[in-house]
Amino acid sequence: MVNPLKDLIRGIWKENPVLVLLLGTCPTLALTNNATNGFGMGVATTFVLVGSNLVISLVAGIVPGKIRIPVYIVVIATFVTVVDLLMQAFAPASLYEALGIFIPLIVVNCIVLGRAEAFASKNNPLRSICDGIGMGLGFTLTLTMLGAIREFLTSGSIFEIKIITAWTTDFLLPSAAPGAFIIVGVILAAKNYFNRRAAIRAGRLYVPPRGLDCHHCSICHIDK
Amino acid sequence: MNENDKTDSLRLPDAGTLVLSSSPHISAPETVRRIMGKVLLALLPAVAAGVWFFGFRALLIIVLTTVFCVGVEALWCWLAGKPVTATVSDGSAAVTGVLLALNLPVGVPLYVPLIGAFLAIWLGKQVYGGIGNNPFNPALVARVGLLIALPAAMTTWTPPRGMMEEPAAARAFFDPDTFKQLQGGKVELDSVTCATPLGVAGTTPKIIDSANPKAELNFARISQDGQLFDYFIGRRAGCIGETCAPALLLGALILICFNLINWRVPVCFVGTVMLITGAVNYFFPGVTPPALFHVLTGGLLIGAIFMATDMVTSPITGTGCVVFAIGCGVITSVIRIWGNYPEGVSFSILFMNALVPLIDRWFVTRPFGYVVRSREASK
Amino acid sequence: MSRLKNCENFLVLAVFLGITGLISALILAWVSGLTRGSIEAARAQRFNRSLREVMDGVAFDNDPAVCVSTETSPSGWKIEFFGIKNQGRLVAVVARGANPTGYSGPIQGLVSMEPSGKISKVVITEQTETPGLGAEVCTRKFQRTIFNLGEQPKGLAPNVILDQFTGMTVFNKSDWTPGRKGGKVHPSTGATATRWKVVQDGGSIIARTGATVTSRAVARLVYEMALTYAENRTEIMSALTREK
Repeated sequence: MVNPLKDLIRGIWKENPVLVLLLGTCPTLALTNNATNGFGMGVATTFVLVGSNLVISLVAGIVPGKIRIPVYIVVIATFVTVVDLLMQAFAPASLYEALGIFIPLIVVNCIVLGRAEAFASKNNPLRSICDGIGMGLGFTLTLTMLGAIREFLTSGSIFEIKIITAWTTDFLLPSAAPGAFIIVGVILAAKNYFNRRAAIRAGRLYVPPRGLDCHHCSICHIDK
Repeated sequence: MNENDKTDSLRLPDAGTLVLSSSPHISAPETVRRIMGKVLLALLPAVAAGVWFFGFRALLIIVLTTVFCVGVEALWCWLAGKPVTATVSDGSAAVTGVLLALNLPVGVPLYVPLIGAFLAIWLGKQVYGGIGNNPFNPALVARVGLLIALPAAMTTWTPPRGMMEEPAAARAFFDPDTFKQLQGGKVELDSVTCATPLGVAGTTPKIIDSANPKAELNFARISQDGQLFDYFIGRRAGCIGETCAPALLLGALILICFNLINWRVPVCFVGTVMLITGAVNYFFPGVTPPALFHVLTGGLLIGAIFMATDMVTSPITGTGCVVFAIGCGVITSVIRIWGNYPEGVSFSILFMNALVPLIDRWFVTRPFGYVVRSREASK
Repeated sequence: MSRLKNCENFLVLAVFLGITGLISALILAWVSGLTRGSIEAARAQRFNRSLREVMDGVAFDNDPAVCVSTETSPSGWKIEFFGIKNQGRLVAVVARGANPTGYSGPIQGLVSMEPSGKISKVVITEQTETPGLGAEVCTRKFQRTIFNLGEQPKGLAPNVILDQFTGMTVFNKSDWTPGRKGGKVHPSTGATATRWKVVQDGGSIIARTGATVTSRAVARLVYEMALTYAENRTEIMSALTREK
């Protein structure tokens, strides 16, 4: 079965929800103060994403086209609330303490609604599950990496374990909101750089000779 | 071209060659490097005053910041594939370095100039495309970034030379135990910390009711006439370059003589702050100290003369500059009187920098030959 | 089915949406009923764990949940006082209350006090503050470095903000106002700061940079609980010593 596996891998790099689709930037910027929070949010979102993709792809056949968005939102919100209640009741205390605060924040995450509308409502359940896993995995990896970078630059620790014990004064800029924007900007620039290099190597991009002053015409920046 | 018309004359192409280029064909001899040199000359009095008042460490901070700024610019140009020597030799990184250093407290740890240089040059200038493309004043971006990142280091003030010459006037800025030790001669002046006048004014509880007899005396401990003269000379705690007003005014004179800044900006900025704080002080003396206090304390003079007038980030037209300066003055006064921070100059300048494109669009210069239509119609 | 999908009849759409809402409400009601008992049990378990945390090693042998006295704080909050007894003798009083005005919701905490009213430890049990900012004020954790990864930490984890309250006592209501006894002398103004407000409000409690609202709420919570105890001490003591 080639297709579902492709859906899974696509969400990790090529169509990474945060870096390429630019969905879900709110939790990306707000909840990556440290790597643990980033990882927790990513895992919780993956879980909700898989479940909601499955439910939406089962239900999508009978939902009238004009009201599909409100219906999807109700379905997703119900699913998340049920997960929250079940977690509060039956999950071990440490798991709920770790992930419990993130669950209510996932309802308004654009990734869930975006993938429901763009993919799950138009494909079969198996592909939707794989897409959910892939997008969730990409989201988790991005958030964990971002959280690790921010946490390390602030206090020299990763996953709340201090690596550089001599770092006593916290450098507060990366863990504050402006630092989040700056670091996400740098990561986006890095991703674009890799894309551009891959496009040049594959011959899809025209590179003008060095030193030519084209007065910022920008035609050669149109990637195919 | 013979020797006589080398300097201060128009650069015309060599008579024997055929030159093919687009306009401009005639250019003035002014380069970025010469402008930056003149700005550095204007900053020299403030640097000298800072070193006089705060000692050798101030010189160290200034030199380190400048070196780091130039280094970061060279590093970035090399990484980004831009011409290194051409970019670094225009001197703008050095000016940014000196300006940033003049805005730091003297007691900052030595990694602060490095981080500040990185923020100023990379985040404040190079990500936007280099000199001329930045919307925000780079030195202020670095200063505000450091304030957010290291609030403890950026708000620890050392008393300058000469602060204990009038002990009664200096009492308000020290912790009572520290003050007793200073008077007894048990500790040195540069090993203690003190508060700035604006800091004391910020933590004094406000008395809103003007009828209360205590309202007039609310700020008396820090705004007597003798103390105001001390603030003018520079015998108060603060950043390295912001304390000595005569040095800054001399620098302003040099800049205006070289026609490098628009005089409207500092005049309107300081004037607006005086007007607003003076009015509030007149009607509600318990809420804020007098207008002269506000002018002579904090970073108002250095901000109005050197930071708000930065030619890349301030408006093009004269009227635009007036609007820009009035806006800065209003925001500074509001933050100082009612805001959570004791000092508002950096924030106000950055805020108005963001509005400069809008101001430039509203106050466009009239193109050559353009006649205003309404006057034509009424004739 | 495709007739339903392309339908544009307003009534049909409204009815469909209504049915969806009804089904979702039914599911939620069913799950909520299923889990109610388990959530209560989990909450009681968490309370016991927090109680042991806030007592921090002091031995006790009664069931605090039945030895309880409820009072109303001056701001109208409900504060419960649990008596902690060892061999019939009252060793400590644990107060539980909630400040409804945290940054993004109520903050509930436990404060353990000696019978005289001197605060021993503060533990925050329920809060919904911002993770990484306000939540750091409320959670207690051990700082782990790569050198002590294998060690098992003992005792109550430290928290810079919450540990400031240890040893403080409320004398009366005016302790909230600056200028009252017991506070530090402010280095610049010379006025006596109240111990109970955060530094930004003229007090002595150091707040966390960027989480001033949460720090304020926590300070207010501890103050209200200690004040309620100070004001109603005799009634609370007699109620607690009477019960088992």
